[in-house]
Amino acid sequence: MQVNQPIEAVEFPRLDVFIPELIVLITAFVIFTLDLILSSPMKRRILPIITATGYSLSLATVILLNKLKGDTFYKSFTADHLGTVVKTFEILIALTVIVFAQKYYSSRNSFYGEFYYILSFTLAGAMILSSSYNLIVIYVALELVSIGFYILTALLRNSFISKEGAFKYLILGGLSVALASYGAVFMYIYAGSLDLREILSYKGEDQHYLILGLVLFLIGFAIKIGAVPFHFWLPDAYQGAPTPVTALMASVGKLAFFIPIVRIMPLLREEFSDVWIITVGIIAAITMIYGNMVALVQKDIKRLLAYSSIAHSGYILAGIAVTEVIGLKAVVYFLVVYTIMAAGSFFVIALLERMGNWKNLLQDLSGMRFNLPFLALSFMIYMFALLGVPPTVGFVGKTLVFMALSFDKLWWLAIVMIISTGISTGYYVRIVVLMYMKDKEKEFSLKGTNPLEIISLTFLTLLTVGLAVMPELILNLINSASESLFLR
Amino acid sequence: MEYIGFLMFFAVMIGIALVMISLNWLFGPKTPQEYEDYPYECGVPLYDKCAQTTFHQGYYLLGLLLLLFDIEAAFLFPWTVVYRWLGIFGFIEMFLFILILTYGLLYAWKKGALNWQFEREEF
Repeated sequence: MQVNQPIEAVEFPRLDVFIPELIVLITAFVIFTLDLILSSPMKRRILPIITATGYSLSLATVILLNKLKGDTFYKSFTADHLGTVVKTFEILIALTVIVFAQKYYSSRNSFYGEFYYILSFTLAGAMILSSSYNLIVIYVALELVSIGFYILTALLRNSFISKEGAFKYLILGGLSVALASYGAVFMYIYAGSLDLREILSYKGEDQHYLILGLVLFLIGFAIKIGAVPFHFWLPDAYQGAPTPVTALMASVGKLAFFIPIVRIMPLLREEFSDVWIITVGIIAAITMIYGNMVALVQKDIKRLLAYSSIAHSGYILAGIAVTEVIGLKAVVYFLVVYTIMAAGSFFVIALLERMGNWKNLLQDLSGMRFNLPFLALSFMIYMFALLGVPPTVGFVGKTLVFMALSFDKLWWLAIVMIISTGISTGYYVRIVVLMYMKDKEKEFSLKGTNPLEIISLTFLTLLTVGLAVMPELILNLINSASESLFLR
Repeated sequence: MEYIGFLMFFAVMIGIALVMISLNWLFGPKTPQEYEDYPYECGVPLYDKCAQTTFHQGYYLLGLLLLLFDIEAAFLFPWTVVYRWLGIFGFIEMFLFILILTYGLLYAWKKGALNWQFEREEF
């Protein structure tokens, strides 16, 4: 009988490489159940603890099982070093998001038990997206992350801009998933396989299908990461979302949405590299220039950081345009450290927003060193890191990308990168000047900070400096990850 | 000129249709009904009198729940075809799938989406 044949191949999946994701998923379902049966005061106390415990367990397994490599679920899930590095930072940032979210939501009088399990589903989606080559699994994980973000963006009581941002994100996110899956269809037509490794190593006669598929796939992901012709949703969604969620979108979201493109880049064959360099390079150049120019005229801090996030997508895309090992190393390092910088700077805003008369305007920052010296210091470090001043990770990341770019074909992109970094000085330094060289205009005081918040912020700030002073802490891992990706 | 027959056929067709409609309009009995101009004519007073305004959220909830169990059925059919060869492994996989879907139903139940006695709102 015909049916019989594929079924003989049924095998029990190798679950050991899937344990971290499994733990996060189980955590999500446990919280889901508890959210349905517990009373509201109990939920407020218990749900964050259980979520944090689950994530910590998952983080521990990611670190303990970092030597494991291999495919499972019929080659649709791949565990490798890149996945380990990325997942470590994703879970770390998600843990800090829980810490900051608790007080933020209670100050807005808007507690939702849904927040915790949708956060967990989003994290699980991001982790699966970071370690898969299969187009269908990429599609499902992409939807899991995106739908989680739409809901998390809208979860703020009595806030109109949160709903507006979520709706814009929903519409453009739907477009991006449609384009990416349309691209996946053309790639399947070309190679008859759903595995990106097989598709890109297949030598067919008609390569137009492959090019069309890759371009559509790239555009779909460019919408998600906010590259410039497709960035319209990003400032609105970032401004409207609850600030801890903005931190999550700017760090975990960006990391997860970039990884499929990062995985495609080393698989490209020689004859495609010119097309890839031109396409990705031009998008990167426009993104960098536009993001930094528009950020110069912003009055709202969250919008300013959103445009800075667009500009950083440009820097990372510039690294992806280099189809060499050095480009891959630069990209992975920059991606990983950008999550720390972005999450940290949004967490500072999340703390500031809890104060009653805080309006999120740039003038509110003036004289912050008198009122809130610790927050001013850490915000200054994040601003210098985003700008790329030496003792911070931003400097190392930008240097690595610049070195990768200045090889042969992409010297023009290196020049564009320097110019746009110069433009970005305008707004990053203005924030530092406002905080440290102006007198205070209004009186602000921050009451009732959770010690965990201070600890997490200190930890992230130390990482911002520490990973630059001692880059070998993660560069060894990143080197082996990048080289093993290029071996294929 | 070879299509002249076709054109004549077309003219006669339109003519007959027009004659029928106008005869109906001239001699037909006219009994005005209250619900005649409603967009969806079903004989009972409608929730809303025109199709351009918003619908009650309950309709969307109902639609989503319907979708949930439609999808479940769509996945169950191919599974039943090959169930004999899948064995205990297939049984566990489908059990997990249905369990997750049941969670959706429980969520809807707990949050009151199954309570369809909507209060009438003023317009």
